[in-house]
Amino acid sequence: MTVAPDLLRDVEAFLFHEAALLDAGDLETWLALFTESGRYWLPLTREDFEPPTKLSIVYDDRAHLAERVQRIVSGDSFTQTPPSRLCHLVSNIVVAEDDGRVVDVASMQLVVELRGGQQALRAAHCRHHLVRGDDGFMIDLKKVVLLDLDEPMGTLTCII
Amino acid sequence: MSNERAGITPLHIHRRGVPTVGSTPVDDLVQEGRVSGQVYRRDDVFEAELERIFHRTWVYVAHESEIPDVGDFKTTTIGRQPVIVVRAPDESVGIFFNRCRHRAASVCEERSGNTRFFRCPYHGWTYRTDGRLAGVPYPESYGGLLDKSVLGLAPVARVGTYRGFVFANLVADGPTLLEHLGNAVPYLDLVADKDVALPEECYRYPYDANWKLQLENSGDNYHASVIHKVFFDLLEERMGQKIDISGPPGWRALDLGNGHGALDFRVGDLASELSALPFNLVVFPNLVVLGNQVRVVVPVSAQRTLVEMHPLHFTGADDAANLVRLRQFEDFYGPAGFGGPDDVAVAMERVARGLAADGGDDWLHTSRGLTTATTDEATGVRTGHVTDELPLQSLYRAWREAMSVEARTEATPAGAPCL
Repeated sequence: MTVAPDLLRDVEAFLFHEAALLDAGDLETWLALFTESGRYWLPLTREDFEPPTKLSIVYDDRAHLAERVQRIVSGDSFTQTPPSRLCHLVSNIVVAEDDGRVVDVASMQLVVELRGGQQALRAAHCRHHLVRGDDGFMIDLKKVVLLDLDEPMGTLTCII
Repeated sequence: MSNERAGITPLHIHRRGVPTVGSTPVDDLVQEGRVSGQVYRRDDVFEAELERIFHRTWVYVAHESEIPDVGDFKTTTIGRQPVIVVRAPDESVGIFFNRCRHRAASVCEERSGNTRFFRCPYHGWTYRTDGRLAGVPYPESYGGLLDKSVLGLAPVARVGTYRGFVFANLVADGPTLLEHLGNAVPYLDLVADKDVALPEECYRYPYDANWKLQLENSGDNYHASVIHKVFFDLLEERMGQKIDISGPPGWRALDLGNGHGALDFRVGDLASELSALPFNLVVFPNLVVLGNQVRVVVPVSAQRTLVEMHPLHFTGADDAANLVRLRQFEDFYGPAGFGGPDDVAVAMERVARGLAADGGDDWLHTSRGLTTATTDEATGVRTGHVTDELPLQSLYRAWREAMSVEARTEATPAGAPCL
């Protein structure tokens, strides 16, 4: 589809802003970007159906995502105390569709996670469903399809 | 520490007939109420475990629901031996070494699927799903001397199934499956009575520490109020009631014998809030059933383990109920769960780091309940408080017995009996 340049620019700016919040560990501000119906989804399969009937790595509605954030910021999670250091590289951003309400965005991210002295590369194809709020975009869905979802996967308790 | 040649674990029988691993008597590795750190660290102990435990006892390989239809198969390992588990045309379960009889290429490298033949990708030798060699390209060069009837995929010595749980044994002698399962049977019955099936997807969660630590942690209730405190705080909030995870009266730990152990929560309502199964069951050496999952422990090396976590699907329940259980499973377990990763971080990874300090007293203590447990005279089952280490006592008693069995070596005179 033909995308108005300022839409693409605004979407890119928003994704970079989201990534910066995660890299800074500002999870409460990041959580506030989600709508009430918002979901954070890391599928384990290439299933494209919601709510997933197959096992996922993460399938959080807004309430569960809030618990996840709370666990990390409170220091109650062993594996996130201290929290992972993250570096997000977000690229290949494409507006797939804009029906006036939801902007469907595809992107790629390569995240380097540093935890316990070890670095892990987390490459993924992402899908965001963004809705226009009063103060800019909000996230109704963040779907992170990890490149290595078929492989044995160790601890992944940071927010990616 | 001696360097053992890979693949050979000589069991040197000293003049007094003491079983050893390398030059260490087994009695120095496991004693009543304590276990030496060496059993988690040493590569030669690991090699001996593969030979004396995984390649000799009943090892869990599959649930029948994973291979329901003729031609369904999955690949897995028994110790270090890659195998194919397949539903044969006569509907029996066949377990074959995943190795072409021609020049040893692995025949199948898909994790699971359905097929009518296994075709080796090297020279095209083709096997039926009952293991028989169906054909080879250009057989003329064998001058009529190729006897296909003896060149099928090599089957494991014994296959045993109990109510859907499929086990393999690489040796023909020794206890039957039922004898081995022993007092674990009533718990497996509780699972099977719920008409469980394993869906295709599972977590495969590796960690950098010894395989036995996973069995220990699965039979350990003592840690729940410490490692999982926050999870249970959250649960208290969600449920609106106080939870005492360290032992409502009636909760029990059990030494079931033969290496098996259990934590039994079948008193009060709390267990059903937490999961579909009101117990943790450890079936020596590689199977755990707890919560709403089947867990398979895959030993990779002395300091590396892969754990498969299969959520249970209850065929009698409706889809909505199964979906709730699936979300509960995701909630706690798996790489992003609120519980599992903490277990891995502490009960596996931190233990591995602590074990590097072997300069002092290298004993790990497994004595909770050792002298206070009560024994059922009829079954031999020992029962104690739910925070007692009875499952570990069972595990290491069986470990010690298995590791003390004489292995065939060049030092053993021909014709000498093998225990």
